[in-house]
Amino acid sequence: MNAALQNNATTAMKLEGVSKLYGPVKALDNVSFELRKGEFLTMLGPSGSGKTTSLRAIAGFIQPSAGRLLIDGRDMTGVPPQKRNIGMMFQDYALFPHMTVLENIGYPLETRGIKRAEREKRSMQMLEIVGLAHCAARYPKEMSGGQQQRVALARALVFKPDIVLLDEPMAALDKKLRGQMQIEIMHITRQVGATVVSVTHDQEEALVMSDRIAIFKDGRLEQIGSPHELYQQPRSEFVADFIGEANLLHGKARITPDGVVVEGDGWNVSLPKEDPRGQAFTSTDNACVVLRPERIRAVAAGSPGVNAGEGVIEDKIYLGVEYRLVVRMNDGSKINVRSRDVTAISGMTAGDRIGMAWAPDDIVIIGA
Amino acid sequence: MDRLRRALFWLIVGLTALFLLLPTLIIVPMSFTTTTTLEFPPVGFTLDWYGKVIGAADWQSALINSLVVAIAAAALATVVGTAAALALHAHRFRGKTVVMGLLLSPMVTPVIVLAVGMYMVFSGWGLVATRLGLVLAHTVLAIPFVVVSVLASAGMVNPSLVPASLGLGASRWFTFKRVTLPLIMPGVLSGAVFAFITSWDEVVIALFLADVQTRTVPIMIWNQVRTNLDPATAAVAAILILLSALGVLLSYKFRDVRS
Amino acid sequence: MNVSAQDGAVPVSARAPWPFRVPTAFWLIAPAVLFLALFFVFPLLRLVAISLPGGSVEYYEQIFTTPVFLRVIGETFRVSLIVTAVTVAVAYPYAYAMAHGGRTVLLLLTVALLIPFWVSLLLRSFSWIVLLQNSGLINDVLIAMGLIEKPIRLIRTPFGVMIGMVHILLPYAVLPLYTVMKKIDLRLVEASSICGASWLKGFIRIYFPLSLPGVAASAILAFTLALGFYITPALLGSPRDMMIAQMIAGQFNEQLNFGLGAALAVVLMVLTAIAFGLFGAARAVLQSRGRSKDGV
Repeated sequence: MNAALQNNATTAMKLEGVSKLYGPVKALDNVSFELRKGEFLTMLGPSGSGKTTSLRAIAGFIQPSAGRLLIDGRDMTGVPPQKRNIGMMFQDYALFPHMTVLENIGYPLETRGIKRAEREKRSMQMLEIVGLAHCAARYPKEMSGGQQQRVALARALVFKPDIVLLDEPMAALDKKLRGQMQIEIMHITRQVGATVVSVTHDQEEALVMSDRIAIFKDGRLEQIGSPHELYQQPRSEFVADFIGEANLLHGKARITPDGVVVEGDGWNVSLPKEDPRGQAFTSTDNACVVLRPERIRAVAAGSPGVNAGEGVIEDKIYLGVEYRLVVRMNDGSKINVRSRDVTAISGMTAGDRIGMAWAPDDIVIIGA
Repeated sequence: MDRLRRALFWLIVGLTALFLLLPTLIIVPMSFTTTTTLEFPPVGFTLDWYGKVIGAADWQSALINSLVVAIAAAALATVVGTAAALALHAHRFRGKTVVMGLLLSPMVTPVIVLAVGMYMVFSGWGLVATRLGLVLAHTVLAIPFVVVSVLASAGMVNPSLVPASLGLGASRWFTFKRVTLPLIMPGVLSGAVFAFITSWDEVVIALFLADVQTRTVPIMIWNQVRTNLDPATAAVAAILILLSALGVLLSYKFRDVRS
Repeated sequence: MNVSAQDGAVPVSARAPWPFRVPTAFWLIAPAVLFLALFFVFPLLRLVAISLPGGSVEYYEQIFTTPVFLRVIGETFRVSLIVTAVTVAVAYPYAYAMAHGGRTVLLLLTVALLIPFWVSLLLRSFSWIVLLQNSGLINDVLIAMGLIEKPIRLIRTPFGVMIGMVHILLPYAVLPLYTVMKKIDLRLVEASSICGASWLKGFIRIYFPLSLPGVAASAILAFTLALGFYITPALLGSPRDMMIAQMIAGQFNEQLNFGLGAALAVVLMVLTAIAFGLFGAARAVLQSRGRSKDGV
């Protein structure tokens, strides 16, 4: 990756080969990555993928079985949570029910021996930032879910922690609030300059909020990168499928004088010689091609060319802004097509043959 | 530091569990001792003490008294308590809280107060030194347990079953017999077991109401413990524990009501 | 389903799991109420009457002016308070382990708790006599450990009484604590530690305050029950450490002073009622805490 990462001044945290075993089960398997200061990193993955275990290891609630965790260059092995200077927003917020909002937010300052007057001043400032200054004297029970979340965020930020952890930040909110809070949390954490590690299984949330996303699967770090990188250059079928919508086509790769061609029954993909993705190919083996549904153009059937394919329309759904087609390929596999090309599609019906075309730039080949 | 605290915590919890179990656990082994004094750990093994207890006329009559009184009190408390619990569960009426309070208050009244009060009243009615007197007194103590137990199981019956049965054309009595009663039966049965054990173990009231002819097993134990401690007492205690254990197993088989 | 159209019947209460009408309810409750009125309420009222011969309060005067009675009442309070404090202190970690120790621990500790609960109090007091006597297991162990040289007197002492009482009260104290503790989310303690609090700080500021309703309930329950103890102090204590229940029994059995005994019984009844009233009040206060402070 980037050379700047080697510079300690920009590295907030570093995981070096961290593993966690529960008996024979590997909850975390040799995970390594770095967190840059001021960035918003999301750990994304299905349940049981190791993202939550990573978060709890960073917080200090569990000790890794192997590997090291460095925060600001300091080895955290054996350091209890209370000495890590980390802020955390819990999944259902874990607000102290017997304390007012102001006392809740002031608690991390209280534990750091800050005097009451100063504590209340700083807690109030934080409350203003999250827009709840009028709720200072309330108890958590008397507030809505969205308000509780902001209080939890304020409590996690008030002591200017080195790192802020968000555990499934949107899980306890209803769908309508989620979109709004995603943007709000992003703004607030940027405003105070926090370094954030979030955990979610919701790819949309990860895409909206993060500078970088770390994708987990079966305890392993599958790929880490900006949302754009992950979308454009997924390194595995899993990542391609997890980020955005993907059609995965399996075919045979062939190296030709002009470049690389991947072919299946009734479709092909061709990359010119100078394309770096094609140069990675050495063998002539199986390859997987990722085609994003919105990058497929519908064309007339019966004129197969280069970077094109054909199939039978199985379903055609009109969604207002676009059409969604399910197309059955010759080998029986199905792919999704999303198109706004009303003139091309409106005349087609289920059962018709359809031709499809794509540009080489819109294609990702996995399995090099 | 953290590990030390945790070790200390579990040590305390373990010692507490030992403290809880110790007195119960030593009783049974002590009853097998061959010595004439109560010893723990016991010396040797003999069943003589059981033979002695079972063969003694006064223990036999006490055992019969205890059984008669406990069965009668359990039966009476179960019938009366179940009826009241059903009505309390199903209906709202004025003074319901008061009735509820009355039905449960024998549970929190100091037994000694009940004992002397009953002694005064029952002696006027000629009920002292009779089994009937003991039955009535123990029924008072047992009613709250039956009420609580039946209320708990009635609370778990789906209330729409009765209208459903009536809607299907069943008569009220038939519905009660075929729908309600089978569903609350676990509560009734474990209430009955509670009632039985309450009477079976009761000593304070019995001390005031019973005489030599009507005395129960707990009174015999009380007298033994106050005069001479011998392994025969442990043998009786072991028999009582065995019976309690049977009762508990029965009641847990019906349903866990206490939790 | 609505059945009122069926046969013009009285509508059955919607909650009823059984099919009878309201007048039937009366006839179902009547036997229990009548029975308790006759054999429970009436004897208690009779005690009150006996304690106030001709409306005179002489017995109460006697109780509250005679040092020996005042001493016994004071002793009853003292023993009950100490026993309550010890019981709750011992019950607290035990209930904590039950609430947060996982399923196996919960099962084991519940069994350990319920076994003595089901064995009669008389038998357990008997067992403590055997354990605490000079040649008993406790003295044997203490001697074997080298802590003492010759047996120390444990029965017929206030210490013996307290051991026996704590043992009997422990299950009653653990259950309310456990009920409250199992509802406390341990993530609050995690939240406290990530906020920078030490274990002790988190316990004092977060866990303990949240467990207070359980502490109050179990303390008042233990205290209420302790006030009326009769068998345990009679078997494990000496006459000098008499508690009020023994004194009541003595007035009826030995002194044959029924009026005074009845007055003492009424005093105990009132004290118990007050303690139990506190129980209800404490529960109400603690339950409303943090719910509507802001609304006021």
